Amino acid sequence: MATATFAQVKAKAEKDKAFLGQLIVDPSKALKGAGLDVADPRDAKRIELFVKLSQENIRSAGRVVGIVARESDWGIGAGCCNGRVLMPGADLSRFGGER
Amino acid sequence: MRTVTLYATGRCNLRCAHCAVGADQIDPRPDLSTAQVCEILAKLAAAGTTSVTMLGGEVTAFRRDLGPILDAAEDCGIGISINTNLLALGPIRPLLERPALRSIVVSLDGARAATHDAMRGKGSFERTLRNIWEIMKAPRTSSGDLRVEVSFVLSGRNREDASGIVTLAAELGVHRLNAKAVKMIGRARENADDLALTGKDLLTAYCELVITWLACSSLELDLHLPPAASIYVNRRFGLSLPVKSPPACGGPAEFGYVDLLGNLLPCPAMSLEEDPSAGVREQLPAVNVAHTDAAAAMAQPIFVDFERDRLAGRGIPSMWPCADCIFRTTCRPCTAMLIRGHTSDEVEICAAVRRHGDRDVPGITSKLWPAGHRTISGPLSGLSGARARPALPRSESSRVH
Repeated sequence: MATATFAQVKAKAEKDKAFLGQLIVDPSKALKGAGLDVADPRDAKRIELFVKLSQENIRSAGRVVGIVARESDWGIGAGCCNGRVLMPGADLSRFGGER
Repeated sequence: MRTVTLYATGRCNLRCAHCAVGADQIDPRPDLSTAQVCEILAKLAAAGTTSVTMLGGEVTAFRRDLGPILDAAEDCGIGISINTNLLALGPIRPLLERPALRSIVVSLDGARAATHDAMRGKGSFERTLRNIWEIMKAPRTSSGDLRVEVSFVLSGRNREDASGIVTLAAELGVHRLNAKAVKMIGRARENADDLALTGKDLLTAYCELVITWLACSSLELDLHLPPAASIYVNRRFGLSLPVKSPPACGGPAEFGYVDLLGNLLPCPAMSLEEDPSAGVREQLPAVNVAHTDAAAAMAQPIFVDFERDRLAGRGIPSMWPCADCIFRTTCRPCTAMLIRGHTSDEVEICAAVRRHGDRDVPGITSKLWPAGHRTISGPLSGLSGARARPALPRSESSRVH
């Protein structure tokens, strides 16, 4: 494991969206998977805040762009089961929110 | 029957550990002939089918008649999608300009050579990527008339690539990423020890797929997210993913499956290739669309009963954690596992939320499963469900050709 600073983790997340996705879902796992060890508690705190900010950015981007779901084409892809196709789009009003 | 999947060959140039029809490759059965496939397409078109997916096996490697098949498809107004490992571009290159070829779905089992090659052979990742790049340059791809999609089967072997496959698909510029959890049938069952992906790991992988997709947002993501799973993801990350979900199974009005013998079936789980122990072993004249009309086939009890059971949600009490889910009257999960008679009747992503959701979203499970909150270990006992396998039409005299 290599010791990493907040700046290094932030730089990696900004360059690599796959790492960013993993960091948002499970920061500890993402850092471990990348072979990074954040030793300084202040850096760990900064990373925590960065993750929260990144989450908010994604939420905002989703609200601006909109997420449209429609039925996928049955039979395409890996099998017959229908998935839900999530597409960058607009007009969320047609889709129900949470019950 | 809007779309149909046609199992066009059992022969394959690979032996993937997760292959659902792997048993069929050991001693491949004869394929339907060119004339039979063309006849089937015409009959499906007459019954309203507009899209047919051809898969196997590896269709591009072992069917040399894709050109005439595409011609026949164009004549009857059917769009063809081909599922392929795309190890070789040669067989498919001449087909790229055919109007009837509407999409190519390429299997990628990892975002890195290490994971993909572990499934499909050394060097396969680089070869497949190179061929995808080539297809992306084709004029019909650039114009959008030919869609290129990536199909990613998520398993225990490649779960670390869940986020990477999204960024790779975005980088390739494909139109859509189809992500589905591995079905533990066929050869996958033999390799269950390292392929199985459930619980916390499955939840994490699904979340990584969704979150990374949101960070990229440049392609479509096809991912089966039942309503309960959507609510979990929304609550965990403060998102607004639409919760209303189309049913996993759309029934015969939407989907049909033609097996290697030419039998039209409502579910691939009834086929021999997916269920070597009990699938249809012979040509059944009443539903064999090489010989009978698709509309006549769809009037058979096998289709009528299937749709009746689907609409009634007959399988729901047997599935976990569906029986007491707040969406049990509207959600229609895939019931193929019941048809196959498997002992594990779980909707895995929902089971993962049921077992582990409270860790990251406290209280979510009592909201989604208010009545069954006491039992978290497995299917609810004492329920009778739609366990009986559907009766298949039998012929008095039939033979496998």
